[in-house]
Amino acid sequence: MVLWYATRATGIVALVLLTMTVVLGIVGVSRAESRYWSRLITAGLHRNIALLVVVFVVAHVTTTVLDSFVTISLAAAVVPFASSYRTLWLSLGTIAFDLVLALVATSLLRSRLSYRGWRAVHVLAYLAWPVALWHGLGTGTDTRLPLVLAIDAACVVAVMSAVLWRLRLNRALIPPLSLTHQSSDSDASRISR
Amino acid sequence: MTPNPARSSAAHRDRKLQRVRRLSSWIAGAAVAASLGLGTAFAHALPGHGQPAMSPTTTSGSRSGTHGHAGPPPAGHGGSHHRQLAAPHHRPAPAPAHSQPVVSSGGS
Repeated sequence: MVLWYATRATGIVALVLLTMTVVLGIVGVSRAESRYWSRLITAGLHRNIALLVVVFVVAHVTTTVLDSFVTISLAAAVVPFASSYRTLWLSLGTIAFDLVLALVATSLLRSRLSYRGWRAVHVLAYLAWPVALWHGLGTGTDTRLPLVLAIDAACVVAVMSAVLWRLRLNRALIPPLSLTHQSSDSDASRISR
Repeated sequence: MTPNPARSSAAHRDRKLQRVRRLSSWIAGAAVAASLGLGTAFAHALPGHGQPAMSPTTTSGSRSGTHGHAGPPPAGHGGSHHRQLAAPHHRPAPAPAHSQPVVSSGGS
């Protein structure tokens, strides 16, 4: 019984941490900073929380495998569609875990990769988060609980807000494309508007 | 003597990194506490936890709603939620309240 509760608790906490990582990543890309919050702090937290995500997902997988109710092999944690128990929903979790592992591994080996290669993998974070959320909504037997619904809704609101803020920032910073070359003064005045 | 700008920027950066470490530790601690809290909340909030064994009819209804997890465990059996429920406990029917002792008149 303890393993069953632990697997659910660690899964939800992992989702919340993944949400924080995604939001910090979006904020970091925008290079937003203030007097009390620098980009170094954003980047550092983004990296550390991503590592925490891995820890909690490993705990989530371990408790799931050890729980004797359903036989879920360790291979099912990394190989999608390897489990016969709730194949689709479990596979979504496997895919999300694989994506997170790829993100963390490529980030740790960033110095050995080209920026394009690293970035190509890192964009998959935008896929990992909704897949993880979907896995929780589909697999969790406790998704009907108001607390869990509230946590899921808060995660969705947080990421959507960050994405919208980032899109708005993009539009404000990038001047409209023009065929004629414009002077730097007019560009500056457009951006500052 | 003017301060060394390289040293001051390194010190500034070190302070930020210290702040990152402190915040990360707090977040890690909060995550662990949240896991424990959520686990406890699930233990209390999920239906049937800690309640005595229910009748088979109620059990079949709850099984369909809980995605294959067995119904509530009998009291004192922490790990038996996975196993088939024991046969319902048959209690002897209570004596009716208005029953009168049968008194037979003695024969002659």
